[in-house]
Amino acid sequence: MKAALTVAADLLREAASRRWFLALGIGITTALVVLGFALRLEVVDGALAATRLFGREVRTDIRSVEIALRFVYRAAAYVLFYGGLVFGIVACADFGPSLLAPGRIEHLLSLPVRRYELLLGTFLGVLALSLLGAIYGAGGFTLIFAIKTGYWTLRPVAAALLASVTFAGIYGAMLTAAVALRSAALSAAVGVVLFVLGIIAGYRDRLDTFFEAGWAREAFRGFTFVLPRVSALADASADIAASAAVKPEVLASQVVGLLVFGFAALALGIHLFEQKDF
Amino acid sequence: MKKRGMWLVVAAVLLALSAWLMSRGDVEKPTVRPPKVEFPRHATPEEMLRGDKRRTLPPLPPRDGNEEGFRIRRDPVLVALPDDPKRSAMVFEVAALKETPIAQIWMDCLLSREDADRDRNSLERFKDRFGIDPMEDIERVAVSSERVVVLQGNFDEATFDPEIWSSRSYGENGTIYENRENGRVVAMWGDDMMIASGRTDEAEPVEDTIDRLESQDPEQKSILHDSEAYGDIYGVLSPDDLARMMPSDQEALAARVQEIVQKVGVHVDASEDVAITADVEGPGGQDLDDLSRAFGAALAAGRFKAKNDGDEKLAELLDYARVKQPRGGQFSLDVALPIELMKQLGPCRKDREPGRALPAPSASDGPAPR
Repeated sequence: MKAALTVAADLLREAASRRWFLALGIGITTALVVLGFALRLEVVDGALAATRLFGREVRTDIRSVEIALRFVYRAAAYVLFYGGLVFGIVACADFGPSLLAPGRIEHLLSLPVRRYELLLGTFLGVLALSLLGAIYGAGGFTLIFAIKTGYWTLRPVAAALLASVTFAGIYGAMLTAAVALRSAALSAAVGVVLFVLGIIAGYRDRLDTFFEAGWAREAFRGFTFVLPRVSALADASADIAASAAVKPEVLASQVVGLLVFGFAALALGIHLFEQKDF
Repeated sequence: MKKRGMWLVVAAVLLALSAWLMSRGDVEKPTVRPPKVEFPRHATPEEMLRGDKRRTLPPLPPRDGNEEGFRIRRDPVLVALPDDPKRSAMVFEVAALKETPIAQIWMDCLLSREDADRDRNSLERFKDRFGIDPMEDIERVAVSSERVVVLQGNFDEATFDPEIWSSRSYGENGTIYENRENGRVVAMWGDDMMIASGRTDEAEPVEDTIDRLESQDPEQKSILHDSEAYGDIYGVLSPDDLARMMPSDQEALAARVQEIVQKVGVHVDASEDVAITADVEGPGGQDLDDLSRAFGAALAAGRFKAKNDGDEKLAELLDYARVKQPRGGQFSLDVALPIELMKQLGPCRKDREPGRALPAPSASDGPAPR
């Protein structure tokens, strides 16, 4: 396990030197700084009375700041969730193939590291990367609004962590695809396909009515049964950010299910990795 | 070989486990979204049709012989209401309210209580004595703070015992009845309107109402315009009445209301949740801006206090309260009462004393027995 953590730490160091992640860091920081300076919120006795963005008044309802921010946090949660997933799929697609690059993989296998530890370390490294991005982005966003309004909450950060877990599930399958074919493009394609199918799977109970009762509907339900419920978790993430009531047991089941999906895909990847000769 | 196959087995087992875990959220969503409440901002097509059918009074004559223009018939209930802008008037669409989910839930609850027979018998007695079934015959009720109540519905069967009620004709279509025992004054106008005075021994409010209904004065105005007659409850609140309704700790705000506000239009929709909109009209400008902010702040402070005091119901109720920014000398105040919350606040609320009934209507409160 120590070896896997070392691989994960190496991946974080590698990510820090990549332009994608440098751009992400600069992008998030710039967005937060611009938001911090451009947004003016007038709070009167706990009510959001006026909002100005870049000096222009934004017409908003006058209501309790806590309630008004629910809409902001809900929108931000959706942007962070779907935006973060797409960015993660594109930016992390290359980690698997670069791990298996000729010359590097032979060197890694010559070290006292088991094959499964290499893949597990890569998986954990990407998970840590997505967690750091989510905490930095959502934390900074929440901090700015908290300072400007006096309303403090960690809900948007919790919502962003849900996005990280979802990405971990998808990345497990991306890594397995990379092991199978050693292609960054294919890895990204698997991520995108799983992302789209996951959105459909999240609404499977509503969408199955579009299929005629019988084999077509059962085939749809059977196919989507094993897929990660991306859109369901996006909705849950937005609801958490917007202070909606949570059913802890159902949410925990979905989150754990998604992580287990990631580990299932990873186990398949390890199986393929174990059979490969380098 | 065994070790190699092990990861495949692990993958299959984990995939099955993940599918089962994730499927738990397919039907039962992990979060409970608050209901989306639609506020009444304009008449629905059904309400416009309803309004068209109710315009049975002929249009007023032109101001002079040369005046041109489109004239439409008028709604007698709106015409009957006093037109003093310093007064309040509310119209309750009884027939529509009766069909709303919350009314049905409350009725079911009332009728299933231990003392339901008492309530049912009271209604039956009322029907036997006055010839009016309050649950079936009344279509709408309009109430004015000038102490007059106007009822519209099917009053063909309504009768007044000559031993108790003296009667006299008034105007072209009116008959005024005065109760010799308690001084109540009631009038029938046309086939479907009943007018009750809020003051005993005073027929003047009733006579004024009939005068308005039969007036041909081209300058006559109504406190409620046809276009404002939408929702399940609608009307106008005077600034003074609105100020009186405010909590005692909001004296400064109440004083500002009396100073600035000209009129408050109220609309309530109970077709799902109960959504209330109050359109506050004033002179516009900074005063109205400040007043809208003061209202928003009062609502936010009330919500904060309710949460701090552990009054979750009030806090939840105020979650839906908001003030829309002023535009054109008017701002709107929206308050919603979600149906789930209303269930807890109704006649079957948990803190209600078992067996405590609503006050039964008294025989002398309305028309006398046949």
